[in-house]
Amino acid sequence: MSSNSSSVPGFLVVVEGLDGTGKTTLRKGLFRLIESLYGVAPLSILTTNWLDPAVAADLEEGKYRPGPANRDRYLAALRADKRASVEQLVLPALAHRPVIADRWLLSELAFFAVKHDAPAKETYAALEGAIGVTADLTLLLENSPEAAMARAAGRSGDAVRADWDVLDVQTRVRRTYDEVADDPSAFPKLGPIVRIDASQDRAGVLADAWSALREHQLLPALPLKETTA
Amino acid sequence: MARELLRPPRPVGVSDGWEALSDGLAVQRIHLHRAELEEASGKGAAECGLPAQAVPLALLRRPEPPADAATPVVTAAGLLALVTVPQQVGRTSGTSQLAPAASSVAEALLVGTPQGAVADAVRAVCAASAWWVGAFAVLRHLGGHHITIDDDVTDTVPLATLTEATRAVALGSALRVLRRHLQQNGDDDPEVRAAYCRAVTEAVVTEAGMPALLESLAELRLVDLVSNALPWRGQFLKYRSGLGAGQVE
Repeated sequence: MSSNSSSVPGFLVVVEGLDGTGKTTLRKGLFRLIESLYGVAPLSILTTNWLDPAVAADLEEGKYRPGPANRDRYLAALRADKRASVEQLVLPALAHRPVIADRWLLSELAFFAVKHDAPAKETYAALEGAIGVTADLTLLLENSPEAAMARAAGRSGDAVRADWDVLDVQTRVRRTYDEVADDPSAFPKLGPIVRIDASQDRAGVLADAWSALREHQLLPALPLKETTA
Repeated sequence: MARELLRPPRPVGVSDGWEALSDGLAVQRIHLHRAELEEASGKGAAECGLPAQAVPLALLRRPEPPADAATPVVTAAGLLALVTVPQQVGRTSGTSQLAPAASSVAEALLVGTPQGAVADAVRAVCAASAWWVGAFAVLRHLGGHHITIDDDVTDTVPLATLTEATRAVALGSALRVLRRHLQQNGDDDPEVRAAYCRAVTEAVVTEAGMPALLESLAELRLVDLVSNALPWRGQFLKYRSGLGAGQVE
């Protein structure tokens, strides 16, 4: 049987950015683009979709009711869940297909910076040992907190949180993103960080992300060479 | 290069097979119901379960044939039948109310794309998409509900629904043209990449409205045409679950 899919290597691409910058649309767009053009369906993972049942209660409490009393327990739970995600999802998938992560490590650094005043490097040091994979690329969608919040506010359901989707919090999140993106060598598990202007239209964001994947040689040039399996 | 472009796509994955089955079924249905189409073209809108603004004869108006240079690109995308069947079966009178919707999809995708075979192919498949939606709309009152199958569809489908359906089919067809062109000719052209990204992101946005659109269309043949036309979570659902389509006509 002839197939194109073996021409596409497994790689881990992470999509990060403030709420309302278009991460979901980009994730879906990349999924469709890679599946359609390169013939292999990526695995999409969401960092908010926890995996390790043993720490689910600690994750829920630490994320939605953060405080000094549960800070360390939350950090330990994140370590456990990241380890489970890497071992059960990411590494097995990478043997066959790309993985697209909607938030990964950078978002955790921002959360601890905002909610626990923890420097990004300190949180990174606590988590990196549990993450047995380096992202091949982190795509950071950049927009002003005001513009991102305006877009996020249009969502329905519980996507907008009163203790998180407020201007001062989002401004501090954005500051953490900048701090990390300006010093990528201090955060090697994030891989190369490519900043994308999220104020442009959705198609422009996808085109920039596609270009970044091509420039980092994560996607082969088209047309693919057919292989025989 | 020309020989490569003339080669229709060879199914590689199972989705390619489902796509070929779906395309074949749509053509089969038109030929199966040519007499009904002929008859409907002489009827009024109300008799065909269409809104007053829709003229059955005009919905069957054949679009302009594609430019010669576009034909190999259309063929390579596996869409030759999409443009040739309307030429064979379509009528000459009237102006389809669905044509502007199809044209607007093409022009929105082709912003900044130079004139040429690829742009002509996108315009041709979009124009043809309006004819296909129009043809199945004219047949709709003769068909069954897409879920219950046996229940006849007796309501009137709004023109806005048919316009939305046209946009979806045109978008899916254009996406196939751009995809196949990139796969065969490479991804070096930033304008074609940009057009493809517009199509992909528009399809992502369109997905949210698909369930409501299909419910409004209601009838099996229209639902099959639209639901299989573009990538979304319900594309090829019947084939994906092991069922065929078109058992009941």
